[in-house]
Amino acid sequence: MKPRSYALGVSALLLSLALLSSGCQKENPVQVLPEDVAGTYDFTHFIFIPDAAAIAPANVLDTLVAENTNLRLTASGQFVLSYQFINGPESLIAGTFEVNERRITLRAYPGAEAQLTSLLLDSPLVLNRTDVEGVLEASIRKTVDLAAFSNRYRGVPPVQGTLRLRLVLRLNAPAP
Amino acid sequence: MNRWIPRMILLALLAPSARAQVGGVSYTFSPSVEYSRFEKNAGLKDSYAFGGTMGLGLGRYVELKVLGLIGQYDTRLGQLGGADSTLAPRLRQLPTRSVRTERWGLALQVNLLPGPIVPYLTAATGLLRFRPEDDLRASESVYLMGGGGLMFTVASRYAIFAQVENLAYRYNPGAAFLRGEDLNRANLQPANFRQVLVTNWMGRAGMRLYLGGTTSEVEEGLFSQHPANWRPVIDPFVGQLRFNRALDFPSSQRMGGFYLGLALGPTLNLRGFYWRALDSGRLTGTEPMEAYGADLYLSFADAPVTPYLSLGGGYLNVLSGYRGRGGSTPDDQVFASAGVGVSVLLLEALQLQAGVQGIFMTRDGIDNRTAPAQVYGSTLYTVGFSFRPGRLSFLQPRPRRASEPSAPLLTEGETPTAEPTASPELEARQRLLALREAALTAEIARAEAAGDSLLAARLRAERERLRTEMLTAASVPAARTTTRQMITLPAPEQGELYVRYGPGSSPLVAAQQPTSPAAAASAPSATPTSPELQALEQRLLARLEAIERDRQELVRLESRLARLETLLQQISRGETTVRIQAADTTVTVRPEATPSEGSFLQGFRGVAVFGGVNALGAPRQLLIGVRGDYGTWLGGRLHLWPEAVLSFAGGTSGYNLNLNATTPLPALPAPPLLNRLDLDAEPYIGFGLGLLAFSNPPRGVAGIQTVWNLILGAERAYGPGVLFAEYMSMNFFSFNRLQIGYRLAF
Repeated sequence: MKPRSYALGVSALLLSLALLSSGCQKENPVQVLPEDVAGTYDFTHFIFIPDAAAIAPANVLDTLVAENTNLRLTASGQFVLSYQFINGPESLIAGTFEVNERRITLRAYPGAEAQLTSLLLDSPLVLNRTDVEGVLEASIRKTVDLAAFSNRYRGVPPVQGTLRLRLVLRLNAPAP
Repeated sequence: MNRWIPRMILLALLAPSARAQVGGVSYTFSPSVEYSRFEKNAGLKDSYAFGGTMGLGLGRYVELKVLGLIGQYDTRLGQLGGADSTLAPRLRQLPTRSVRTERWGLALQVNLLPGPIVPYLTAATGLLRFRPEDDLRASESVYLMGGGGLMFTVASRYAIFAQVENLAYRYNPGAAFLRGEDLNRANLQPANFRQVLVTNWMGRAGMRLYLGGTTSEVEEGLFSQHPANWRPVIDPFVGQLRFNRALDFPSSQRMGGFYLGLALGPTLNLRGFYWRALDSGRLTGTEPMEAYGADLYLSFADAPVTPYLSLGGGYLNVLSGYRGRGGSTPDDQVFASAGVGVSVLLLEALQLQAGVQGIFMTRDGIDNRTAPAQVYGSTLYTVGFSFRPGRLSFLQPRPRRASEPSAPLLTEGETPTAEPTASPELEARQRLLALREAALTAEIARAEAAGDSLLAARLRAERERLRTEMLTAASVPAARTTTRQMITLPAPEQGELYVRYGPGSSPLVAAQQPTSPAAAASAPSATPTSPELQALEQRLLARLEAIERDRQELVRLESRLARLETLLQQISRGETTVRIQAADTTVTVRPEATPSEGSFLQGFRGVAVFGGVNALGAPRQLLIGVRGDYGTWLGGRLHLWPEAVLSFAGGTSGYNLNLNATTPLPALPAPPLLNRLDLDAEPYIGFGLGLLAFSNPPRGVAGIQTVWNLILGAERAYGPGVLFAEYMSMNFFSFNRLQIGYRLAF
């Protein structure tokens, strides 16, 4: 009586299940809270670089009023993206965000799709946390219709490129 | 120690006749030491744990054990995952604290091969309790464990083993190992920690001792069947899962699913399961929650209506979009399960089942002071079917090649009587099968006479399976002789050889027959015709029935003799009043003390008082109780014990009402090295339900709660009554009682 084939079969099945159970999950017991990243962030880079070298990069920041353009993250896990195009009204995009040790994920409330498109953004928007505290970055591959963004690109079809973002936490003024 | 391991292996290899494994029902004791290797997120440093297992060997292939391991570890919180550059320095400021862990549970071991070196697989589930120093509160988690190992025979009934296992549980390091002051000092808060699943690889080694059972080679008993006799099991069900209010899940969730597994014997199944949450509002819709795991299914009898017990564990996987209580998203859960139910035979291989299971899950801790993690029980009610299709005949051993020829001229396939056709073991097995077949035939006749066609049909099917098994067993030597058409001839120095093949007759036979009577006597006889075979079969069946009748009579007489001996022993001690009535025998001793059948205590057969302690958990108390003996059910398999218990000390008083049922286990044999010690005790195992209340409930203990009881004990006659000692685990090791008592019969 040597049912070795049965023994090997059962062993292989259970071993694979054990490996699966030990390898398929990786949650973290420590979590970064929204209040750990709360604050107002200013845009220092906001530019779309087409893959085609013949097309000039679109610097979104040049079309915005810098002092009215920022991202506010609250301790309760909500965000407000304020922006104002030059010669345009001041606008807001709101939503919620999640944070972990590597990134911040912004999800806008429904109805903000057109506003996001005007800024060449999508929802969800993932911002990577850098080694420098208070600095967020993103490098997003996407296809953009630059003709809709600016008259400078009239006649240019939608093009592939990379949207680069960099935001820096605004330091509070020291107490007098 | 490194030299000992190869020596032990060498000893095992040089003693192939020794068998640590035993058949039948045996007891196992296994002290062991474990090297605990924790993953980073477990928050504990690697170290050792000590403990072992104690349990039952259910044949050569299956062992069921209670496991206990105690470990002492230091915390290691600086390497927990998920911290960013801001949190990491704060984690390193947290104090290192010593934590004692207690791991209690049930373990199942499946031996894959017989022999001196046995590879095996093991799985376990139970309660993991963390007890940090500095007077922090204990946290609890349900764990699952699975792994495998090798067992080496050292001597008969002794073995050493080494195994690797994976320990998985969910816990919250902040609530388990830290207090509020620790968090404040490091500028952290409870919300910075959450419950996660951790999986840790452990190595364990130890010794195993088998007591009882049989070391003979013949496989017998309910649990010793060859894998070829195992049957697949398919058990679909629907049910309602009522979650405990302490958990984030909705109060009630409809569930459906199936169990797939193997029936390792008439009363023992090993099953894996998959459950899926069902949409209560639609007939066919599902909800995004599922569970998977495995359990052990034990039925108390192989009968048309029989209760069953199931013990297992699994993982509850909450998928995206599932909403719990108040719209929250519950966490995944590791769970253990224990259930009871009833199975009703509808048709051959089809049963209806209804049962209830306790599902034990961990409520996430928030912080150690106000809400450490605790285990809570939920309830799953199920109804479903159970299919038991045919045996796994493809696992039948293949015919072996014949050994070297022993005769000068051997024609394989044509000389069935030239050498022994079966080993003594095979003959013994054939005799056993024949006796069982005869007994089944008699049972069928009785069932038909009684008009029970359902039972008769079931028995007939069972007999058919048995006959198939007989034929399969009998065909092994025959098949051995027909596998190869080969003739081995010696090379004679002089003479002549004549070889012919195919139909027709030999001209040499016709020429020699009249002049050679000896040759005629040795010539093969003609093949029996079919009517002759039938007549032979009838005669054999009649003979077997006669043997079976004789055997049953012998068993009855032996049983009666044993009872008489027992009673005579009691009488010689002047203890008990005895009255025996049998079909042909009446023995009455001290009729003046015979109890009245119409006693006002109708139903109760006796009363017991007992005392004990509640240890290994809060509150630590002394207890006293009174227990009724409400007689037996299911032909003596289940004994009912209602009881009331009062507990005191530990700053509170407790009141407990239970209804327990126990079933006897095989007699506990004396350890091989302690043969002079006459234990003469009858062990038992049990299960119960009850209510437990505290007048001034300790911290973390409910004022009133329902309790599930698991009981392991032993009893023996002592003086005019019965002395018993037992361990009772309530609510999955939340309360652990050691009790000793004395019972008097009315």
